[in-house]
Amino acid sequence: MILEMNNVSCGYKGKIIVDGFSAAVSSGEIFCLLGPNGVGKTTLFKCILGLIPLMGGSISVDGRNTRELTASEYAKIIAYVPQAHTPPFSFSVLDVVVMGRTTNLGMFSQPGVKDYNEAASCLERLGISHLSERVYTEVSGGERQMVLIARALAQQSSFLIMDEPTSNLDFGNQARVLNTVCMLAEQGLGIIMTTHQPDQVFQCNADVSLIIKQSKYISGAANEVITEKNMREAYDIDVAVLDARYKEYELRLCRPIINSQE
Amino acid sequence: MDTAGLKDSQADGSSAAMQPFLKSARKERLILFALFLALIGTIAVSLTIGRYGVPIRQIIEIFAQRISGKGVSEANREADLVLFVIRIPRILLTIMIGSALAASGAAYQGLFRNPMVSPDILGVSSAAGAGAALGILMGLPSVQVTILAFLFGVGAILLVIALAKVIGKGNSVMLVMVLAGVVVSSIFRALTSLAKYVADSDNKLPEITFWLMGSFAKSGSIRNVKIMLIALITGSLPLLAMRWRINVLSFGEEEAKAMGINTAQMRYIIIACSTLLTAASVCLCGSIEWVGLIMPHITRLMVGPNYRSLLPTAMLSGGIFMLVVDNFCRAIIPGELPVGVVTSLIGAPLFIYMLLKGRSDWA
Repeated sequence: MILEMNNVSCGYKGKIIVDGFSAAVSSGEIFCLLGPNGVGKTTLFKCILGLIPLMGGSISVDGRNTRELTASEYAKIIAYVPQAHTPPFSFSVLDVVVMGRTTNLGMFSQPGVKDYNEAASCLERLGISHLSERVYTEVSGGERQMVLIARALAQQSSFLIMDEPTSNLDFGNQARVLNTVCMLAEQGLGIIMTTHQPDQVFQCNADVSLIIKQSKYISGAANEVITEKNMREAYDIDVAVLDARYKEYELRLCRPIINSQE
Repeated sequence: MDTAGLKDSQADGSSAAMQPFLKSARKERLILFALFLALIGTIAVSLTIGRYGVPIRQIIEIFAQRISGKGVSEANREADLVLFVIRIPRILLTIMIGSALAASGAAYQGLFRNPMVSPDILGVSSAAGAGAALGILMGLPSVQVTILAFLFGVGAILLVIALAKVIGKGNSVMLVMVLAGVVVSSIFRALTSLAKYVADSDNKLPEITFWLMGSFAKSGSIRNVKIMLIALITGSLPLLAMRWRINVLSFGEEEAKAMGINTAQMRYIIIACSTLLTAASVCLCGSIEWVGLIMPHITRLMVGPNYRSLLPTAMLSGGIFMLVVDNFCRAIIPGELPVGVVTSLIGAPLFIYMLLKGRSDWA
């Protein structure tokens, strides 16, 4: 499947924030949105999810315009993984994951044995079956993020949209979540995620769109887009992009230059 | 090959995954059943309470005589009248109103994603109170006071929705709605105060005051039971049918939408149902606070936050709680305590106790 954004414009209350954005994501690919705070990553994101109206252009899946789909049909194509959060009620982890089945249930039905099994297998796929009976609000931030990914998997959609999946996580959990993201892409899911860390784009070997300002985007493969010149233009800081070898790994790193004297 | 082994492992795999779900489902059914028995027990006790003493044995006798179709014996005629004209309608009405308030509170807590929300968050009760005060002030008969109260309650919600639409323009509708509710509530409370201020302090003022405190004393009639039954069924059936989706909605509008829920449609269905339930309760019995807030809370401690069992359990326990409180009101002093006062006196400290006990149902 292919998700295409053509000349997308969106914003709030008549004020256009993102203008003329185009990109395409296929199944099995990871696509990152990178850019400074306030440049409209979240806005674009909500627009792709259909949470705010499209002001111009089109978003289509396999040539089919997404604006013609109902919330339920759309949920079968794209699942949303929000940042790890704390909901007001203390549902069990399995209950949270089974909520991903909503789109497959009738208006008046409740999830049954089949749905609970599906939810349990999503937990297993991510290696977090042991959390199943725990209370969602009481597990750690990293675990909650994984549970939310499991919930999105239970939705059985072709694409996942992830909002800064590693924000607020510790060093180890960041790596674990990123690993999971890469694994899911290898298994054939198309993934769109926002991030603040250019290194993650290299790590996932992803395509990326660097949003520099309202209508200026640089899109392409990680190596082409994340360059010293482009990063300086987007963030107005000096950046070093380095190549390194570690054992059998070829690494590419992106590092800002901190020089407090000047 | 060992297909038997394969079969076994499959069965094991599914049953292991299902264990927590089955375990909690069993526990929920048990609690529901226990509450049902408790309700029957409370009803039995309630039949005997009151100034006209009817012992259990006589009650059974009357029921037996009625069922046998031979008619009630001369000796039991008076007790029969007390039971069937006064006590049973009042008991039924009390239970239904407790259930209605608990259901509407539970639904609102999910919709507004906040366990501190009560059924009158959008101003239904204050508006219905103002409608009733106005009706009493104009000297309308009680049926018309009831209708006016109901219309005011529903009108207030329409006003809140309209305000939220105009101000909200799509984003943070829920927050704008709560704020609009606060404003609308405040206006109607001011109108109520005004009505009290100009009311004749000899007859109309006490009547308004008594109405606002909430009581089942005057409202327990067959007619009201029928009205409330219709309101309860129309209001709670859609909520019960959609109760699984309230879980999803409690994760917030955006997530619920991304999980395939038509959030706008669902929001209006929940508001319509809750408004009907609350407005019907308030217009028949005055404003009874705290029940809609604490019963879903206590129920959450018993069966957890999943609306699958939370909603039916909260409705049952709401009915029981209301009936117990009303019995208390009838029994404690020769006259009668206003039930709204007692629910507040019991509800508020109970709520503090639960906060202190501090199970982190909210964070």
